[in-house]
Amino acid sequence: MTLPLARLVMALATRCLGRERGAWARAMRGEFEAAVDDRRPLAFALGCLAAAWRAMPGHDEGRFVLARYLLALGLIVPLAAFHLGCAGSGLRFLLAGPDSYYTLLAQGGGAAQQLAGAYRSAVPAMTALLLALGIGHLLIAWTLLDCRWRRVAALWALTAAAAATLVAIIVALAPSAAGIAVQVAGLAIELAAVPALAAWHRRRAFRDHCLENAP
Amino acid sequence: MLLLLQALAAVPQQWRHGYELMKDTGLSSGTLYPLLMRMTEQGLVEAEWREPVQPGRPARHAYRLTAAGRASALAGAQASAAARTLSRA
Repeated sequence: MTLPLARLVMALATRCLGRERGAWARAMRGEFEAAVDDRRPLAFALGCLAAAWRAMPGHDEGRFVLARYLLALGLIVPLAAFHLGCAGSGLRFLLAGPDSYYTLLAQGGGAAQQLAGAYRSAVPAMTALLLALGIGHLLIAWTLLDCRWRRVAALWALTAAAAATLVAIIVALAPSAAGIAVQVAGLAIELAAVPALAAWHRRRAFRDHCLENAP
Repeated sequence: MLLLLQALAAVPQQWRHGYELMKDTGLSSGTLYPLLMRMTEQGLVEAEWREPVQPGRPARHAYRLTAAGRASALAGAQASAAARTLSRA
């Protein structure tokens, strides 16, 4: 059991070192067999993985991988979780569950009650948009980590349109909704970061192409 | 780094494998390889590929000190000796 796990860790370590440190990855793989003979393959492989992780910020490929994971796991997945959570609240309300904002509006005067009616009729559309945003963000995170940029671009455009529609509805119905500023800021960072990462990927691909075809 | 310099300086002309250096110095692979990468970039260590002794095994990287590395190891040893003398005085 230890040896297959060690081989897996070793494969991950060599992958994390990337092409720029490919010689060091091969050097580690070469010594791995000595560690197997010495019956210490897992400790050796874990050390190599730690070394590879420490080396990642030091080379362009590593920084690119770290940036993608940081954006996907640090921002896009939490945004997806937030949207799916909100969609869950919307679904509960649709299934006759409580909604504090609706209750507040319904207890108010004439204008507030009118707004409560508009809010209630907008909830199915808002829930559908939130669900689409949650799923869309998860798909963006997945395709971003896979570097499938065409798909990322298509999802990004759809998600941006859904987010803009949702923000417009929320601003009209609940202008003081808590957290909207944070959500807008998160979406803005994502909307700026995804094209920036795609441009970085293009520059890297162009540089690799030039290096491969250099005389 | 001093530990690794000393281990390599003990047999300066001999090419040493990474696992052997780990055993000699007691360093883990997670410490040894970043040191080797840095020392190679600084020109203190040179590396070359060695064909495997056993068939089916991958080629192995072997390391030894460059002239700059040997000078650095000597300077390090002298500095350690001076520090020891001072602490005894």
